Amino acid sequence: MNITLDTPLTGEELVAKVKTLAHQCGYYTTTKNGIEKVNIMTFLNALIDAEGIDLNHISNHKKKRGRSASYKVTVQSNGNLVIGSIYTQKMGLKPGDEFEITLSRKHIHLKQVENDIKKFYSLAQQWQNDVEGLSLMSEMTKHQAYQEIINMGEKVIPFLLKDLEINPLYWLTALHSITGENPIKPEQRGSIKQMVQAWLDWGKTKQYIA
Amino acid sequence: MTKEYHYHLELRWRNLSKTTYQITSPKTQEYNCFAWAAGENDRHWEHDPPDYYYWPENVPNEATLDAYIQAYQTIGYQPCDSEKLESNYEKIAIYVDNDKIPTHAARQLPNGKWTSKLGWLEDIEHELEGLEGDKYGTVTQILKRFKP
Repeated sequence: MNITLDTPLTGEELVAKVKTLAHQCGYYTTTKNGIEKVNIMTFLNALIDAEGIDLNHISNHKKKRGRSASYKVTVQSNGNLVIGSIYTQKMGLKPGDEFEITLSRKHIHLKQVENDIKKFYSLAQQWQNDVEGLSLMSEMTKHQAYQEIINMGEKVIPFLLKDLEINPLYWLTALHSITGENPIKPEQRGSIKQMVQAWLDWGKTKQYIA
Repeated sequence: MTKEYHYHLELRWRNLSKTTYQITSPKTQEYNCFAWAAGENDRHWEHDPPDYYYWPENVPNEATLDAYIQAYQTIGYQPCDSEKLESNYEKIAIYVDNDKIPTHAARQLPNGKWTSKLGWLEDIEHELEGLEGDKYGTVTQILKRFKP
């Protein structure tokens, strides 16, 4: 078949020609059974490299809508590491959203910081689900989620006081642990209703609640 | 007793479904099982924190079977060997976990079944084995007191 510039090869004829060329250039392996197998992809990659062609650059250049996410980021000359808006948009993040940074030998972890009230109710739900049915509050309050609520500190006091109206038993220990105070009179001990009222009165005096 | 299914309980106490039981009160946080076993439904019995919940005077503030036996002794109960119904006697059964920490107490009813407050969930009438395993461990001590 005569090849001219007007009739470039396509389809199976093109593939066959390229395979022949790849074989002639040494891009083949011989199987145990003595069959020669052309490594067409290795040949094509070698050709691209030999030509100095950067496919990523071409791809970015051709797209008129801006760069796509490569999911790679490079430390800049000033030491900064910048996460582009393409990633924050994908996560639905808004200005002001915070992340905690954790460093390990080869990783930088970013974990979104939940806002306080969301975090409190998430922990409270987890705790409730895990300890429901147990009898001793002294055991229930050892649960990790409960301890995390205590560790949230003073900012969680209004949430605890508000939730006492629905769940009077839950937060008496947490309030005591966070504040170091005990507004419960001896005659009120054990009476959940009276202990809750003592704490709510305390909360109003300290202006945590109205 | 007709068979009713309460999956939120049977998921937590898997032996319940193999025994007969029924719910006998709504959920409330006003008392716990140890108070209910003592016949009270208006306060919470617990050894710790000492200045928070009700705990009988002079009984050690400890999460031990011994301390809980002593707590019930202050209202006339004494250890006994049998869970069988005896006329003129009220009985309490104490459950402990693998570490021998008291986890639950149940009170016997005149019909020989038992009544329990399940944490802050409902009261139920049940068989002792129905609450063994899972959260509560095993029945380790029976107490009784004379009831004229």
